[in-house]
Amino acid sequence: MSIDAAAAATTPPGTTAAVQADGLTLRYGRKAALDGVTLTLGPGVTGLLGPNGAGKTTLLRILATALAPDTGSLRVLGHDPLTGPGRLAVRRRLGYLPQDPGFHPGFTAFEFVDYVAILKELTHRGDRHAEVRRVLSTVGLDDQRRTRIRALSGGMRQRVALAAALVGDPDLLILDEPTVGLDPQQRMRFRELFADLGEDRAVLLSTHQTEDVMSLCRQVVVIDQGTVRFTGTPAALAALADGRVWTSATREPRALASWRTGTGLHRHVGDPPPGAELLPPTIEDGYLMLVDLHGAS
Amino acid sequence: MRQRNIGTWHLHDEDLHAYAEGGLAGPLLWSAEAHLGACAACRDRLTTAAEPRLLDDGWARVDAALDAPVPGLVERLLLRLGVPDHTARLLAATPALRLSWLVAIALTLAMTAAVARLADPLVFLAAAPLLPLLGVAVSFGPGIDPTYEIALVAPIRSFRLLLLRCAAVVSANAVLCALASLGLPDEGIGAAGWFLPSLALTVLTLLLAPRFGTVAAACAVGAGWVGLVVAAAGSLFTAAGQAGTAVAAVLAALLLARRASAFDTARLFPRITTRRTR
Repeated sequence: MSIDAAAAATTPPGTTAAVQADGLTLRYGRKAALDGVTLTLGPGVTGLLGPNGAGKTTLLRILATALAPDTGSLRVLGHDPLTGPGRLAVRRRLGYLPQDPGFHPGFTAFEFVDYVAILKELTHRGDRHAEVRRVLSTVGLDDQRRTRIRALSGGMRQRVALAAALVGDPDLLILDEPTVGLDPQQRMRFRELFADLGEDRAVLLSTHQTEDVMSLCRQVVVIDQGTVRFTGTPAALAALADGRVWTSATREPRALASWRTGTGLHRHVGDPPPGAELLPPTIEDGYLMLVDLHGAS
Repeated sequence: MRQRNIGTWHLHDEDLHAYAEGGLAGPLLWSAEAHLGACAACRDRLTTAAEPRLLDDGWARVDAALDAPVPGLVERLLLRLGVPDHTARLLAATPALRLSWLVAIALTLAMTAAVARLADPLVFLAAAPLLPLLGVAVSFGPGIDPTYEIALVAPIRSFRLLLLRCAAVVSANAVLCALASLGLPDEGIGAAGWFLPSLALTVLTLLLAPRFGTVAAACAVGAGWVGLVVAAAGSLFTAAGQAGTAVAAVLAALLLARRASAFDTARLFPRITTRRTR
């Protein structure tokens, strides 16, 4: 699916796109972290997939106004974050969860979120504390409000950071690998939460979990080596591997990916031999095809 | 409001309802509260008279009081000085305002003043301006402030946050340095010769921070200061030297004001790195 067609399909007519990026580039020295990224994101949950070092975090940092691109144009929530007033307008409606959120470990969960709320200009003490209680309740941390962050588990810390991102009920949520390090039960809770949040705002999350994308994203973007490789629905990503996933009793060295499954049979992704027993593709198959095809080109 | 009943009295229904809704005022309110404290029967009646919403509100207020952050020593001091509670909270998260840090600075200054008294006052005058640089270096920036990236994309301007923290660090250092200066009574007003260099070096560090980061900027400015002291110690702490330092501080401040937006994104920092606390 072409990028523009996918963008048109995911941004309902008459609504303002949450993000419109055109030709974003950013270099770290000689290395191009982003190389001409063009992207349009509508409401709902969008998943950003890509291998390590593909440029996902750099892209999210640019969209979150933490970094300015070298070149390219950008509109976030209708504002230009490359100008001072535009950047401030975006920041007032943005929730951002960094890849590795830092904490003042001596703070309680409440104190930390309260601190972030102050950074978000909630200066009235009563209103601010009510908002802090609301977001901690949203992420299910009612009973841990007064617990020091150093005493919380990794999953709970992640929830504290998410609560901080939710302060002020932002219109755009940018979440960098929010489910990393979580156990399956915690991931399920996060999925439920993201699905709820995505009902009335734009949520962009990067992840390595293709199940997360399949189960909750309305749009998926695949990025590799600083460029967008795919934009479309999760089903369209899976469809890239239509007719290119098959099973057999032996390993297939010519396949792009081939592994022995728990049933004892081998599963292959690539160009199947004539008469192969085809399998329905998953989103992961589509993703592997895309990244591997690129790597082979 | 009083209803006599076999040797004792109870709150009148009308007053009880008014009290439950928070509508009782003046002497009646005080009297009702005193009575409710002593009369279990009226407390029971109050429980049924009060709407569930009012009870919920009361619990919410209790909850809020328990949740509210407990201010530490520095924060309490700032609140006493009239600093708004939200600003005091921001400052309380500054590493260089923690008690352990301030104690370390105080001990360093005491030792320096002692050495200066025994050997050469120049030791104190040269060392004191370097101390706020240490505080500024650990006040803001990637890899320094654990919440740097969150603060960076928050609506509050990073420049304002940095200035707030630096002002607090410089003020705290100035008080400690002034106390340490008392250990050099023979120097008279000359013992305050550290003050203008402190300001100038701090502003210079801020000016270089967006390009190199706060730590590298503080190191470079500190090294420059040491070099200057070694090269021109005799003239630095004269009236002309102090005037020159003041001019440098003002020029650096003017340039810094023009560069405020450089703190708005991390583009000029070498790279964002955040501390892993998991």
